[in-house]
Amino acid sequence: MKGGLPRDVISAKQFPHVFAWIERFNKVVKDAKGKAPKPATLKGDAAAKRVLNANFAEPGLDVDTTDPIRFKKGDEVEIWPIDSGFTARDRGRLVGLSNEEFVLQIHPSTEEGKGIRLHFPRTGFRIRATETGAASKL
Amino acid sequence: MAIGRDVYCDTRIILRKLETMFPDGALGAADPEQKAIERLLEAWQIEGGVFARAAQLLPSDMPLMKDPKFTKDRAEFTGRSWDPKHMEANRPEALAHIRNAFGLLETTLLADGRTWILKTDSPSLADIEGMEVHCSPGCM
Repeated sequence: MKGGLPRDVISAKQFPHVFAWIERFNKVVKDAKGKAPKPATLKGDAAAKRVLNANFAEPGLDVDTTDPIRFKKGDEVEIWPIDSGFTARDRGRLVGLSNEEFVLQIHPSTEEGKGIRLHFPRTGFRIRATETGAASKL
Repeated sequence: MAIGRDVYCDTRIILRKLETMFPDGALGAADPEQKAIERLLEAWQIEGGVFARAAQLLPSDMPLMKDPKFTKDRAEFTGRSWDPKHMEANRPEALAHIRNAFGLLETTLLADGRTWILKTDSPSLADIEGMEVHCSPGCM
């Protein structure tokens, strides 16, 4: 981003190793992109349809009942990041909880059985029980 | 990122899932000390605040900043003011934080002039974790 870093404070002069490393990295990424197959571009509704018609990639999920937050599988919850983006919360049923992740199942469409699962890292996110009835708006 | 009907929110979990679900293309280390470097770099960059500080260095004179829709959206997202005056007032503090982050890599992991962080032949997951922020304001 041009103008993000003033050169008298942060540049290859003060940090030669870091800048050389960034340059090497960008070159590798550029070369790899050139060799990789070109990804297909989908419109939003086509992408959503493809996701909703797919199978779950991770069918076996479990809720660790010894986790300090003490939730059960199927609890109606809402989840949001605590560093930024905390004004928008995702609501759904807790279907996975481990040392590594939270997993919520949500039903974004009216089609029965077409739920998707949202996975979030276990740290940096906050989870709360949804007030009764609130989740039914989904 | 979506794989089937599973959707992964946040770069940290995306990278971890790619590593475990596509082991043939995995870039992570096997050695516990090297794994520690990967995880500590990730925690430092994301939960240690480097990423948030880098975002605060976006130039306040870039055209997008004059779009009230964009600044309102970002202010709601981050919980911080995106008013150019406030961004400028905050800049020295954010810049000092990022300078500190550059200094850490310059004087420790990269100090001996190695090509990649874990002395690998090609970039590994540790380089990606360490690069996350340095690339955004630093190299474009």
